[in-house]
Amino acid sequence: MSALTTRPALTFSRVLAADRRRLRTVRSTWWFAAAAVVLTVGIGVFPAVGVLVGALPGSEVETLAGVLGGISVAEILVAVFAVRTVTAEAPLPVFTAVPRRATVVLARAVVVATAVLAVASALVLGTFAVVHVLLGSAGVDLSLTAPGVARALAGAVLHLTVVAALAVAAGWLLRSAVAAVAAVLGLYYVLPVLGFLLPAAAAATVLPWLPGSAAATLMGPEPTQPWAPALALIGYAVSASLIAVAVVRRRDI
Amino acid sequence: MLDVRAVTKNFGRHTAVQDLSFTVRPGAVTGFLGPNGAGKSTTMRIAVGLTRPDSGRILINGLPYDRLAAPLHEAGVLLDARAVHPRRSAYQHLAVLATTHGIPLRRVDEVLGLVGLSGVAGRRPGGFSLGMSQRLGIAAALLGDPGVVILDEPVNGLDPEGIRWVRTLLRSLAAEGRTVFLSSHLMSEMEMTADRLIVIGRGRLVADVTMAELTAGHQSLEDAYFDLTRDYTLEGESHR
Repeated sequence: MSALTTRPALTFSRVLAADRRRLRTVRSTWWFAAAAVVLTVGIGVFPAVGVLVGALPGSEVETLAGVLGGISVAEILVAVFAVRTVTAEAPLPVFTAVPRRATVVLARAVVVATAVLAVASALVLGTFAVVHVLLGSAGVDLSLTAPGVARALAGAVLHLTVVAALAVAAGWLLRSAVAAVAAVLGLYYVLPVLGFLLPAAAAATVLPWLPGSAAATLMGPEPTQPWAPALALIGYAVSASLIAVAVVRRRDI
Repeated sequence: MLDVRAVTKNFGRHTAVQDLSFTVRPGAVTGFLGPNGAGKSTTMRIAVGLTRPDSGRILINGLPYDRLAAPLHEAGVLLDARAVHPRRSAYQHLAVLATTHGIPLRRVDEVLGLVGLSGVAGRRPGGFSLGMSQRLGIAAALLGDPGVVILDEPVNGLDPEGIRWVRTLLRSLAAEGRTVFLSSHLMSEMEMTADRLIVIGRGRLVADVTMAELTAGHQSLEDAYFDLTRDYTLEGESHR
């Protein structure tokens, strides 16, 4: 057996590179990306088509909401995709090659969130560009520089990226794809409903800071304080990743 | 060099490994024997940091596995040949592992050739036979050109040609001065492959001997093994 010519060493940046390869070398990654593009753009341009054929009024707020109409479908795809980057393969090979558990968990979060950030940016900007052209030919101007438009689009991208990070963490914590997807979607769809069981004052304080509400505020027409919900979302993603690190470090693989 | 120092591991109320100490030295093939449930796999998993011991530790070339600068270069491990993504090709499976250590990708081609899988490098392991999966697992273990090789039941599912190939490979790795540590339940195969033996029963050390010492006065390794482990088998336990 011939020896290696260069001396190998384990580094965080190499684990990032390995995880990028991990993502692109299974077909399901590309299927998820294709499904997200088709569904998000398809749903997003639908209202603009309505305006173009004269079936819908061309008010700016509604058309912006229309652009982001596909995001609720994209977030489910992102959650399932990101959970599966953890649960679809046995953990034994990666933890044998990379025995530093925190490195494995954090690298996966960074790589998956970055990939989703890139796809989400392309999706949101692509949908906006198509809608812009369609509305333009209907005589309605939806401009990227109009107040709140760029912020809402960036909010949608941040929202999907945070869903990815939460889903990766849920994958590590729960180790089952079904349980982890249910947990992430529960966080967005079930938690707000449970919030209404709180006393009114408490609900008014807590509800706006739930991940789903913070994301809706960011993507909505006029948040008074866009940085607050953005920081809350980033805080959720970072906290979930750190909890996953702590739990994975403690247990047996 | 693999140094097991006073390792104890309990799973709930079940004691898997109890105060186990032994050393596996370089330049020889050391067999790891014991009945089912004796703690062989648990010991191997603790060696590479997958399972946390309750007390004690295992050092590889003087350090715990997770403290090594290049774990794959110090120790290569095969624990479960089926633990691969079923839909990532054999080549890419190894390439992902190689990338974590900056091991050049031509090394992936090299180990695929070494285990005889070059022809199926682009195929998904989901469709592999157990024998092919074992070969892929051995390729992964050799990827980092490691000084210590730890293999749990590597010949399970291999055909006669494959079994002979593993034997020759392990002998030559030991002859190169590497530390080779393998478990197997195939006594006749172990007798032909190993120089030294570690025998455990119910998580405790039963014997740490050379092959000649253990088989002296017995017809075969199998006879010697049954003499030694009579009290430790699951069946023996049920007769108590």
